Amino acid sequence: MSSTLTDILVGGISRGAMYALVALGYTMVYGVLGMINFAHGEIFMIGMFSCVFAMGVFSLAWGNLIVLNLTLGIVVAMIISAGYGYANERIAYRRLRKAHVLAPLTSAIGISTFLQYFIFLTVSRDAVNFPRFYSDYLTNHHLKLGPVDFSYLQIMILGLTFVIMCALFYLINHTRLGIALRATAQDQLMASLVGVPVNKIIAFTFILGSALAAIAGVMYSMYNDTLIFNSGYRIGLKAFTAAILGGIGNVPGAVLGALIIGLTEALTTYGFGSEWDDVSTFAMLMLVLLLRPRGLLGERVANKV
Amino acid sequence: MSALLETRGLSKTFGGLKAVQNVDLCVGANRIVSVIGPNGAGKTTFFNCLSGIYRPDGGEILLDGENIAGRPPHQVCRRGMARTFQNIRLFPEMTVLENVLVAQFQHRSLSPFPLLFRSPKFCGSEHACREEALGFLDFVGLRAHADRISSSLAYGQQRRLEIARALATKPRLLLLDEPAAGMNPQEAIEMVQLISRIRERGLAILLIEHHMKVVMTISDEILVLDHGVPIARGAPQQVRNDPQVIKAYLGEEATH
Amino acid sequence: MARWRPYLLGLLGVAALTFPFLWLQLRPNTTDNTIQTAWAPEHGLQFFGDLLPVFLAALLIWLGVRANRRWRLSDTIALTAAWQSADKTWSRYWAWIAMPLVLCGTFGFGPSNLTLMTDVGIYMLLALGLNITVGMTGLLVLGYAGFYAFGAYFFAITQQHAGFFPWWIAAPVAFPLGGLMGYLLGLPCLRLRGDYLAIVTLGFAEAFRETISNLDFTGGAQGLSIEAGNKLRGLAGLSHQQVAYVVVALVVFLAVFFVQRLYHSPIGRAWVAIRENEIAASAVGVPVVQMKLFAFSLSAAIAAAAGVLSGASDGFVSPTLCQFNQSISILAMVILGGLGNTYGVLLGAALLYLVPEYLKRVSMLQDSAFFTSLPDFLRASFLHLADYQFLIFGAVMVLMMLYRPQGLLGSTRRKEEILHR
Repeated sequence: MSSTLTDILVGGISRGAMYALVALGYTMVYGVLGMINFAHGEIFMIGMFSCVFAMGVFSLAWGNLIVLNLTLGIVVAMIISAGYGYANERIAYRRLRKAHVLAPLTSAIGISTFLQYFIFLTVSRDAVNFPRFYSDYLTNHHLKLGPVDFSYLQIMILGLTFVIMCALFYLINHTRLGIALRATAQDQLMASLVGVPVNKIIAFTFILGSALAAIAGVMYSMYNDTLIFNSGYRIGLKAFTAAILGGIGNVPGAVLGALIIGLTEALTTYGFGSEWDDVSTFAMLMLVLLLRPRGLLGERVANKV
Repeated sequence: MSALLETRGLSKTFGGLKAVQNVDLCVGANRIVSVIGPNGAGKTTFFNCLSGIYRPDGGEILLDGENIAGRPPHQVCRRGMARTFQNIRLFPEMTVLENVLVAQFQHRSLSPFPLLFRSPKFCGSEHACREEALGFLDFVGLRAHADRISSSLAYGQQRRLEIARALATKPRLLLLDEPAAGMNPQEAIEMVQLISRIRERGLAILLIEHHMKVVMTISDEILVLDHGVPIARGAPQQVRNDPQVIKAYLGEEATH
Repeated sequence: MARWRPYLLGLLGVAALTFPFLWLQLRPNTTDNTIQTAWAPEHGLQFFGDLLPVFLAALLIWLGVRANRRWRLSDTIALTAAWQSADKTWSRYWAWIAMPLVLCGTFGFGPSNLTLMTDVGIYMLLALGLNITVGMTGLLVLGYAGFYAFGAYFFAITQQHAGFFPWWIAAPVAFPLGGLMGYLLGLPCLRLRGDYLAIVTLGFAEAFRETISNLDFTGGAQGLSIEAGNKLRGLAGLSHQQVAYVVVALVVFLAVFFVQRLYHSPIGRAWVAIRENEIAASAVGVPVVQMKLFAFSLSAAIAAAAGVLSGASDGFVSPTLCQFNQSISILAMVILGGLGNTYGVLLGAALLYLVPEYLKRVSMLQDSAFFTSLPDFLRASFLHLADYQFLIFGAVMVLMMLYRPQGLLGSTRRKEEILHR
């Protein structure tokens, strides 16, 4: 496979799409709780592993059926990640909601570390390979649209992300649940006073974000072929930066930011090699904070005094 | 008479909401001006603009002729304008005395060597500041509670602590945001006396208050805001009888 | 019974969520590139078995806390401590008593223990530094190890090119340089939300680690070694481990001295005021952004100096210095010890460094007295316990925040402050 610029760009956008799914989780939780969920990356990682475990079980149950196992695997991953996301909220965040901002943040770091090492100790210390049987079909087949070459996997990633974006947009802007979400994000006390079940909405935000992260996890593990206990940590930094770049709390911003990060990463890899991508992410982060701290699509919000 | 504080056309908008529109105000030295209005009239937003927590979208704030609009709160404080908060903002787990000590920060020298090596000058100034802080506590009647944790004080005492803390910054103008809120008539009278004594020390005071008796008793001048717009200004009796003011408050029971 | 229902449901939920990872195992099939999941309860049982000592310790702690609540034992301790600190003479001169005791260790400890204690000292220094930003001022920092590595690599690279650049010149130079680094990093983000600092420091640590691993002149993944002339070496009859121990001990004492002086001064009060209510602090004249920057720069400076000492005592620097695990360990030390509590973080550093190290050593000394006195089922678990270090750190951080955010030595009033703003 030749590494032409268009290939790099397509790769960048695909990675960006995966980062977007994770960044959405960060930005939604930030929107409703006003804090960053440091354990979100681990939810991504657990989704990754859950899918593989599930596919293993299905393989024993009824054999190696690519589409069925993969789809069900993604569903199981979403369920398990949602469970972890909910547990995370109940354990690390709920009791500490009214505490000094340091308390839930540190608690989340604790959970992040705990989950990483839990998987490290119980699943595998080394990287696990994604069963190529399921991803080969998608990675090996390509679709050429003019000068641009997409693998089926990339199409799947882009397509899925696009569908999810649309669904999320519809949810947030055109449903009652979306109104409740936005209300909680703006003013928790008022929302609860007008009958919004705030605890449930917050839990829902975590669950939704976690499910999206699970999907991203499965895509990521298919794209990169490996799963390792600290994948969540690695992607966490990129997804944070993406969310901040786009304007933390802003849903379309998270997507935009993620696409930009994905492209920057791809271009850095093209120009300097993949060992420098953390440096380029950090450089982007500092650039945003120096030039436009509220993010590309973020709004200036005044403190309530 | 040149005013200590003057605002010209002060405005602040949040998204679509014009919280404060075109407010002109003059506070002379050693005068007490009250800002009143129904809830949501923009009074606290106005204070937040004055004290630097919000940056106004339009207009000027002239403190002794210098425009301080948009300056951060600590710089406003340094130029001589201190404030208290509507929902009390103490340092909850510091003692009463420590709360006041923090307010002396801007007057303290921070040179590293005297501080780290506890030179006699540093120790002397620590001691002097402690005494001064105790003096402020004495002024508001909290000296006996100096070593209590501030969050353990009663509500009225916490309000007075906030005032002592604001006074410790040695301002020329004090912004009091609802100092008599939640007080019974006796406490309200004591608050009026306290405000008078503050005026006797030479400060000017700008007051937000709902407690009408307090406002009418103590103010030299009253400004009435409704939905962010000034609707009346003048001496207490004048404002009390102003038809627009009565209309704005229509349906509200006058307190006491 | 109904009271226990939510806990029971929670436990069931957790059991269900951890089920696949604990009780199943992945069996990749390399022939046809598929995967199977097998029922493998052994490794789940081993997991719990290995953690048995930890559960026992947790049980003991819980019983201790309950006993304390019932019989108020800690009140006696607190009263004694209060008397001691109220008596100014004692509290003013405790350092003069403690210092000789610590220095006696130079002759009391053997070489490997000396190295251990030197490392503890360096971690104490790091915890002290981080405490200034996280504990006193209330700003979360996640990539603290980045500054630590910065100091160490500054030392290593400069001494490689300059030839003569001994640690006692490097440390005082690294101190302000680290401070400058902290200032530059903090400037864009301390004007903004608190959590941004955490991410920026994290990004910095990762970017720094990547840079030093990739470039040749920084030694790549192997790191750089420090030349003999520049590192800590034996003098006046003392071995180099002894010299390192003395130097680090003196630096820690010095750091505690200065930090306590800062804490009990207008600057320290300003930091605590910022932590307790930033807007109020600003309203009474505290220049919040500048004070935050100062706290952060000072923390970074201390980390850089600690980095030089680390390079000087180990004789080499490597990218593992700024791994995320390092940052997490130091943060856990500060939390365990108590946010803002100077002596607490020293205790936290000692505990969180010594306990895992001791466990690692114990598992190597299979026939030590301690080991043979253990019943069989515990002996096997101790062997692997060291692997669980970070798992336990993570759990400790969460539990501390939920149940004892004031740390081991903090007061209950501090707990109230953290939990109920």
